Amino acid sequence: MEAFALAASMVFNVETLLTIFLAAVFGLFVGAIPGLTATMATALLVPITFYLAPIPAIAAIISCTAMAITAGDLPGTLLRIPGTPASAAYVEDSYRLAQKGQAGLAIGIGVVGSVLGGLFGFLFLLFTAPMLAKAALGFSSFEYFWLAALGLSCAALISSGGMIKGALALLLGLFIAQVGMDPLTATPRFTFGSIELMGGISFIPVMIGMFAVSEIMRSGRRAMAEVPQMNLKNPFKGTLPALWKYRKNQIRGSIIGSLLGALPGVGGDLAAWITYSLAKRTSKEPEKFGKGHPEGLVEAGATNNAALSASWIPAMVFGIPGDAVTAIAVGVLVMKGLDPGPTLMTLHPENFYAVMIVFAIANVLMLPLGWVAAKSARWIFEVPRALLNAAILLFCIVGSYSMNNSMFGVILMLGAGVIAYVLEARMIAIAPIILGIVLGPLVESNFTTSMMISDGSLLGFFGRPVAAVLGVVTLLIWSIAIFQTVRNFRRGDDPIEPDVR
Amino acid sequence: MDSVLGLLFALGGVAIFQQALSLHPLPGMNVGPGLFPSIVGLAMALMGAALTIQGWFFRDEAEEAPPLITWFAVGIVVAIIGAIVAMPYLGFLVAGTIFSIGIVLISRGGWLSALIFSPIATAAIYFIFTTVLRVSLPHGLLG
Amino acid sequence: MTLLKKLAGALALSVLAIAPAVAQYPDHAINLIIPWAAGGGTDATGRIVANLLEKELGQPINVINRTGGGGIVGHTEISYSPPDGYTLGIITTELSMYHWIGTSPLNYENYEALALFNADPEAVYVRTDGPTLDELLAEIRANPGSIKASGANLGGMAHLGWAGVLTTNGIDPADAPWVPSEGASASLQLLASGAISVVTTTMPDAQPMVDAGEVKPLVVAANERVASAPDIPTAEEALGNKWAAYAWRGIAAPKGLPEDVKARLTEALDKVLTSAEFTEFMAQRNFGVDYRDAAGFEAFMQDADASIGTALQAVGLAK
Repeated sequence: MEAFALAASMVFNVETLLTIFLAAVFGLFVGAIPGLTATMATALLVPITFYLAPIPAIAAIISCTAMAITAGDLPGTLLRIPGTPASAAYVEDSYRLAQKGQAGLAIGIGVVGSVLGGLFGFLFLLFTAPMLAKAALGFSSFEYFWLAALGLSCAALISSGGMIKGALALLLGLFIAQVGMDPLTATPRFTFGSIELMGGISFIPVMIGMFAVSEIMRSGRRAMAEVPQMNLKNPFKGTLPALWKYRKNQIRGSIIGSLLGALPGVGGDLAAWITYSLAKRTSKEPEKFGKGHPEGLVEAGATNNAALSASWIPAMVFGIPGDAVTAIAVGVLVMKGLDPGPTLMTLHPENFYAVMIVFAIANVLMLPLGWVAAKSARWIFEVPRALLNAAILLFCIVGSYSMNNSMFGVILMLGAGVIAYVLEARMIAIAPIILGIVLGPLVESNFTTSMMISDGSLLGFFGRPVAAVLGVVTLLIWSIAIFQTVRNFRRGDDPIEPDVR
Repeated sequence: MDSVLGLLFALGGVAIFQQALSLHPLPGMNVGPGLFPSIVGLAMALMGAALTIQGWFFRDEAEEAPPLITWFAVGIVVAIIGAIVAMPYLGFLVAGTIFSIGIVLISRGGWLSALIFSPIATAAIYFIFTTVLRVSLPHGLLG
Repeated sequence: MTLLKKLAGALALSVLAIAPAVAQYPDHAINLIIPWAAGGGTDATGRIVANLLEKELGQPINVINRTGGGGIVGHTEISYSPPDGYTLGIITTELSMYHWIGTSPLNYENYEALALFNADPEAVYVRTDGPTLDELLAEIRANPGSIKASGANLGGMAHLGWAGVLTTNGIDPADAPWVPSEGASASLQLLASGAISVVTTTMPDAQPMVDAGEVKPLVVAANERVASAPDIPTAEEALGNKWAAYAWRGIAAPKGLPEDVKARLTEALDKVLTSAEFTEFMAQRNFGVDYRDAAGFEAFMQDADASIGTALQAVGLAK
């Protein structure tokens, strides 16, 4: 407890608290700008942390990241530009809610659900970090392959156009991810000799194009009058009842998020997709999903932030960062002499606890900042549509450009936008494409690595107990989906809305 | 319409598969960079074929969908292409302002608001990205 | 309120960057391209160099991670950039390999060498409950193919380090196949989970897992023992056959840099790379410091190029 008291005194001083607040505002700002991600916010913060003491430095990174990821839900809700791959899982629901005039509710669920999920993840992290990290280390390429395959399957099968269209969207995403050099041997694939393509197709311009540009092409001409005003006095009105109604989803999402977040390399991106699909599968009204229904939003939102907290477990306990953001944070920790790794917990537990306390503060801080953001978000609806279109497209162009400082990103954005515009008109969902792009390299490198380890034998994929369980579950899900599609087809039912349960 | 899309996917899948077969494993490896793409290509060809068949049997509901090619959608695409071509020469401030005016006008906005809004929005975005976020945008004429 | 002062300082620094100046090089921000992802060793060391160099040159240095294709994308970008001193890059061991394997025509002659700042030997790791070095080699001799090794990409320094340990002891590298991975942390994860048996990587990369008690080093492919791990024998001590494989990192510019710019940079780098701050950081993370000036770095890369070509031919990867 002495260590905990020491940790508290390290956090509760003007310098640290002020840093947390300023970093949170910065994260909110960057996260809310379409096309700018939490990774970018964190990277931008690194030079500033050089000037700070160790605890404020890491506090800045943590609060900025948490806030930027939550703020990424704002452009998702209001403009249909998801801030992170994870929020692409539920962007349809939050955007449709906003279109129904319930933007406040959508943002409120996002923010409050995230806070609760984040705090849950924090408690989880506090008590189980060493244990979980140990379990995560037992995962080899076989387990990772199946886990990623399971996530991709969920994304494909829950999408609204039916099994075949979902699978096609997913395969398209996987193909896009293959353009460029292959992750293990650096062999150029599908590059047609272009140096730009050698670097691969990064998902940010594609995501911006597929969600934002295609949406403007489709609905940009409609007048604003169709969107009813939201509640001005209390933008979060209705949030708590909604969260109470779907409390089961909130709890389940938090738990699954914490567990999956602890796996290095998979983390929050995948977890939100799995729980969103779980929410749809177990819901009493699955047909409402994707059309502005809060249920999946609650569960996936909670998962997102719980996973975010848990993704610090492998980073802190073993010094193995799970994603770009924690990788940058590990770099800062090291530079400040707080060596992440097992010694952090044993030699300097006060540093570990201090980081934990910062987590809690950053999550609580999200409430007031999120409220202010939601309250000012209504301005978006008061801007005439013509001006809004121009501003959004300018942001899209700059955001796509800034990924690699090249016009190539903008070209990708446009191409992706046109493809999405055509596909969506035919009920092919965009979300699985994005997930395919994000997880494609992970699936492929783990698949190929596993094949090499097992000398090319597929049986190796069932040779380890956890891998075998995950593998059987994944294959079972596909068998059921194919069986249902074939059955509906033979009955002559419309296959577009197959029996989801 | 679904059948056409399915056919396109099926052909794309075959093309991917065929391309993937030309990628050989490196010496000493039993598995090569072409394995995963060939699986994806094959699956895409099969699913595309399934969609073609499915679309053929459930043709009826498709016809009442809103037209895909609208003058507005084409306008957006043309404006973005214009911006891509012009920005390296004119720079972000000039090209962005012209682009913004164009978008406001095809979105049925007024001339006045287009002329007032565009330079301000462009300059504000330019300021945020170049000074606060340290992203360097094309300077072009003003560089 | 030291924080406010510091923030004000940072702000002033960025305002300075915006103000137009006609002074000599550098008069605006410099981009530093790192061909590997954020969070890795190259990124960590590259950023610390950037941070110190920024103070020395008085201009901000933007670090850009240009990843992909086993570093080729970033390396290519550095070599293609205008040689005006406003684009610099960190170049790494892999540069000596691309043209031998045939993945890219790039080699050291495409760059203006500025300074080498880091070199680390490859070491061989097994799980903590794993075999000794003699047991390991005996197992490979008895059951070819049963031991799988990993560490990084195919034909990378980690791969060559492992192949060298085998060939110098009369074992065909194909008897203990290499499983390429995206990097040291992915390979160490495979080792810890029991999917493979051996990982070769540099000591700083493996340090967290060693501290965690998951893996242990057996032998280091170095000319002499490493100061941070004095108990680990060199290949010559453990096996009787000399073998050394170092992964290195240096800073370079595109070919054709003006002389005055190069002089300014090498002078600044000399201060930065010999500073106490830099040495302390490198020691903290167990990175080995190997500082060589522009001419020394150029000669070093020339040597490395030739010796790696020989090693790659031995493994059958050179074209």
